[in-house]
Amino acid sequence: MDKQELIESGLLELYATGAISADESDAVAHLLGEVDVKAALENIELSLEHAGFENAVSPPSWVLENITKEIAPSDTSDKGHSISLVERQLEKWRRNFMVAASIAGLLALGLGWQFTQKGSTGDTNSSVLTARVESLEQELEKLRTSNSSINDQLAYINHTYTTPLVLKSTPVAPGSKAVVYWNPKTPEALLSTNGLPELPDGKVYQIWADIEGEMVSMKVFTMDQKLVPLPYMPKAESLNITVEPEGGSDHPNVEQLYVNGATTV
Amino acid sequence: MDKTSYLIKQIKSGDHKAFEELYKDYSGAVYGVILKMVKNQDTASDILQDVFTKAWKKINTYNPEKGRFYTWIYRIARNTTINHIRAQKPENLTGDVSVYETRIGSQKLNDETLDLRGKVAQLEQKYREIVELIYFKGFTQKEVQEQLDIPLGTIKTRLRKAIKTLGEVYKDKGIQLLIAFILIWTTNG
Repeated sequence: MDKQELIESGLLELYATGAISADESDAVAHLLGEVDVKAALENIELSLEHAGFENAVSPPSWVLENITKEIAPSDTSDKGHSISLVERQLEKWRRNFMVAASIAGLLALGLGWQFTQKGSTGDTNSSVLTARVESLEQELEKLRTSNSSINDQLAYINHTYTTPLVLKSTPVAPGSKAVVYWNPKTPEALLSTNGLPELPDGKVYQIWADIEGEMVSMKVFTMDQKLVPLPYMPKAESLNITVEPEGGSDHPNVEQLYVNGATTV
Repeated sequence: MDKTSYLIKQIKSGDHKAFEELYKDYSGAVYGVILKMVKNQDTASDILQDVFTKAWKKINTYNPEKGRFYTWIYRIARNTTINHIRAQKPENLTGDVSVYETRIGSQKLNDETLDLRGKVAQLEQKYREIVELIYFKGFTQKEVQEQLDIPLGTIKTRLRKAIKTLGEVYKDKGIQLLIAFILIWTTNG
């Protein structure tokens, strides 16, 4: 295969997406040093990158916090948070939102300026910059939505009909506890994970509703989430949190039942 | 030197702040792809964390001569996500996303989050579905062949045509915006 055949074959597109087979990849790698091939590949990459930015979704802020901790371990720790910190945590997230929104706005302005500087060259990177400006605008809108969501959670916790159900420790995990904010007037409940111990590697928490003797899975979660939205299950008699293998289980591992509590107070 | 190249240079010398900045620039696009593959926000967030942690550790292996940074991190994301799907469903060695979707189907995601947006969403259906399956859902050629019941050659042809169309659209859009910016710039100047 010569370079022109390669460019027209569709293999460069597969190579850029990562969906290429090993044999085909070898054929591409063989000709990647050619200027024409390299230029064609760059155009494909730019188009896919642009499509990626157009479909960007803002990740939760805790992901960056976790990455920062992981790549630069520090002595700061989340241990010791008590259940009473829930509202303070929500306030903190709200403040973070304001900061993030300001940064997003500044970045959008900065990118706009950068765009005008690059404008006269008319290079293809301008289209990627355009996408990023648009992406940042979308990010800002999502941050606004996120802030609204935090306000909703605060309103939920403070709602007249919301009852905090304390799930108490079993002998398996003495000292553990969790709180589920339970409101029969809404389709959702909210679980505060403060008070649960750190999970062993490769494990997750899973919360189960006991409905007429049958354990029904409500949610799989990890300690990365401070507040976990749950479905409200009107027939649940008790709520139970177990430790399960990553991905969760079909049936609860009762030997690893950490906390539980009735849905009536 | 553009911003990404500068940040990567800084990261290679151990600059954490530069890495945070790079994360802010690229995490949304990477997360969007992962989310479309696993259709679960919690899982996608965990995978995103894994992807960027790997990127930090492997940044010295990134060679800009061999491709753009986004392509590099996209591939890490794609492979990490496929490996995760396979680990969740050992009998499903192809990593078929549709099977995974059934498994976690009880955890709902807003359709709007999963729907394609932008110019790619405006492609003719036969081109859009190829880009969606291969690029946004991590399907292999064989999986696409089985899903759409079309020959491998057709997959390559449609993918090429789809990306070529996108390139032309983005270029036109870029030029239109460029003209608008220049007009504003010269008017104000």
